[in-house]
Amino acid sequence: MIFVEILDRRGRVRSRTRARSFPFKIGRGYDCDLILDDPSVCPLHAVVERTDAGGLILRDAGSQNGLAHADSGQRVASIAVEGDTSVQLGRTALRLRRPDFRVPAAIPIAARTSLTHWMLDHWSAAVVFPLLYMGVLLLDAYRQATGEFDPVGAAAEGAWVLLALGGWVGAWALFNRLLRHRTRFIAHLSLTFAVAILLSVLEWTFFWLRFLLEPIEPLQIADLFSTTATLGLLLFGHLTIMSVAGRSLRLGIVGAGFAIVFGLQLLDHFDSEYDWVVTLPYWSRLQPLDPSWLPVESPDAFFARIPRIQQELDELAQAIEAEKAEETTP
Amino acid sequence: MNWSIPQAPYRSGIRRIARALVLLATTGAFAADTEKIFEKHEDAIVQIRIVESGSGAKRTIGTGFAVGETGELATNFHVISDLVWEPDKYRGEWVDGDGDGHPVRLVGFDIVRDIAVVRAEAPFDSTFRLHDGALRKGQRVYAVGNPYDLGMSIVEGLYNGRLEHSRYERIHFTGSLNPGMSGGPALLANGEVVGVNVSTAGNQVSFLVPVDDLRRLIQRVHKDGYALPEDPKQELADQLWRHQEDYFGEILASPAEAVQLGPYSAPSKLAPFFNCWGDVSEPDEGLHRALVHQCTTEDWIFVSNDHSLGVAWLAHRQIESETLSKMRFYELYTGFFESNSSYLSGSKELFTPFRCRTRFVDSNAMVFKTAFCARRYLELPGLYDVVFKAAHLGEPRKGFETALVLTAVSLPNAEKMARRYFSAIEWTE
Repeated sequence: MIFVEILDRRGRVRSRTRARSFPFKIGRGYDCDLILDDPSVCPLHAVVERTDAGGLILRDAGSQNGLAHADSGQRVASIAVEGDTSVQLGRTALRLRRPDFRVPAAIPIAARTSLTHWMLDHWSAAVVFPLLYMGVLLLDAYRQATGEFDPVGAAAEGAWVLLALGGWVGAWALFNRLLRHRTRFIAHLSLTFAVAILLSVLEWTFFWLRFLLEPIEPLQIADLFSTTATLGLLLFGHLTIMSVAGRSLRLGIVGAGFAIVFGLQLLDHFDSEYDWVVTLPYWSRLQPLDPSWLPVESPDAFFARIPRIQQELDELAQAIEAEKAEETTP
Repeated sequence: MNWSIPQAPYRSGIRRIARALVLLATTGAFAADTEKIFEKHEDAIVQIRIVESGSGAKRTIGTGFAVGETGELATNFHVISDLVWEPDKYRGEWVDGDGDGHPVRLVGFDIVRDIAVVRAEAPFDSTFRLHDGALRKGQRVYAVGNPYDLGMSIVEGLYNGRLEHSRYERIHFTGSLNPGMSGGPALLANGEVVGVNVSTAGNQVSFLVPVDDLRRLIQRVHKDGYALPEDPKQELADQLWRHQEDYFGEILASPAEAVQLGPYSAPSKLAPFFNCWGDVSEPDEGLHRALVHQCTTEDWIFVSNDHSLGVAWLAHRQIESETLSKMRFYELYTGFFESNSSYLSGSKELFTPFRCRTRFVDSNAMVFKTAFCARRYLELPGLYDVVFKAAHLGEPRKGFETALVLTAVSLPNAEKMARRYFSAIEWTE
């Protein structure tokens, strides 16, 4: 007994037939044991037969286009069927395997853990994620409430945000339905809310960075970059859930979108350039951190930085003067 | 404080209206005095105007008065500042009774006192005598000028002594100075000049430059042979440089007063000419309490039509709360630290952008988030605007944040000021 498998162009199995009795006829004709819908295959193209020695052989039955080794493409009259034999009949690729062919051991399932499964498919995710995000919104409203905190007002505002995000999820589910006949509502919802939570986490991270670090511009750009990249991730996620195009094409689409949006934002950032002539370029962010954790310096060390500021300003003034001079002389 | 600056053009027979004003005045000493004064000196008080060189269109008007034998007219620096900044674009004129302009040229100025001397091509028939001696509080003073280009008019008021909280002397005059009267003389009943009209705070509160400052300027102009230094902008920068050396030198030599704000002791009046005030703010909810303490000098210097400078300013805010969580308290604290003097007016034509250094600094056993920021005056080398800011860290529900703003200062002086200021902030609990 052997298995005869029809392969696609990439070598994946399209169909598999068990050959129990021999001769086993392969061709386009309906009297064959394996019928191939390939115009380059003859009505009776080849036969698998027992040899005198008790082995199996695939023999050309006088076909137009013949038999060929799959690897070398060399045309032959017959091929011995051993453990794993690949041949080409006309344009069709066949693989013949004996039942004792050893397949490799199973690979562990990594991609779909139970958490991913839960996020993408389970109805409770559609409750937990919005609730979690509501918590984030309330916490944020509480943090910003430097006067009396109004939980009802904050919850009402949060509800509007949830509703807006719900609309977004609904739109993607609708696309999904139109394209793939499935809504995958829970998957789109989990993704959307996970990204919204991630954006809040990013915001909090930047609060700390603005407390701890000095540079203005790099942090502003990093903030723009991370926000845009997170939104890119959201788009990639939606497309993946909808299985639009291949993985690399999706990456390409999202990458291009990211590049365009981030580029425009950068242009806008440099164009509208903060007016540091009137606004001080320092981060005023303060955080309740134990000062013993901070890199602290002495007043002497701090004021010793003034000559460097003077040098920077004098260079800046020279550059501005030079620019002015250039403008006035055509 | 408003500078009495220029108004829209309005042609009129200056003398006619002035006479009418005089006639309208009621009987008595005032009418007699003012009439005498005016008749005696009407030819020695003129309108000064700055016109665009090409078109001859009016840009600025003010008043000037004859003070020298060779055609010198005294006025305010802020009336003629365009002749320093853009001499190619503008020229100065004095206007005769028929409304005709005659050229004047700038021969000297004192930017800090806001006075200037221009010279006409021919001498004036009569000139003013400068008063020498003290004045009594309540003494009658007559300010003369050309308000809103309506024609010469006389404003009667009282001498109210020298201005407090000002390092440079200004006479407090209770009379209404209006735009266009800038640079006109303030006279005694005998016709002697006691001051130069300079600015108003509105509601009959006006200011005069004391005549002694004018006398010194005239002497200097005389010594210099009635010639302006070759580069007037450099002269202006030098005057401002010398001014800040004196000014901050005096502040640094003065013993600073301290103010107690909650558990913090902080510098207050840095010198006698600082004016301080304080306030408590406690929002209705009572979630926090903020004590505010601010001090400023009032020595504004008019530099150009776009810019005035010369103020040192400090502002402390001490906040505490018993109810807010740490997170919310620091949110509030951040907002205060941001809003305190993080914005100074100015334009790209005048300044470089600010550059800052922000660090955590340990001072008097407290850790502060500290920023030192400076921008340079493009056309006044060696002068900077500086903002020093600090916020105390480490207390869960108590905070102290402060800003010291110094304008037109050298960086060495700014450093000395900031060091002294920072070291004076202490925890006294």
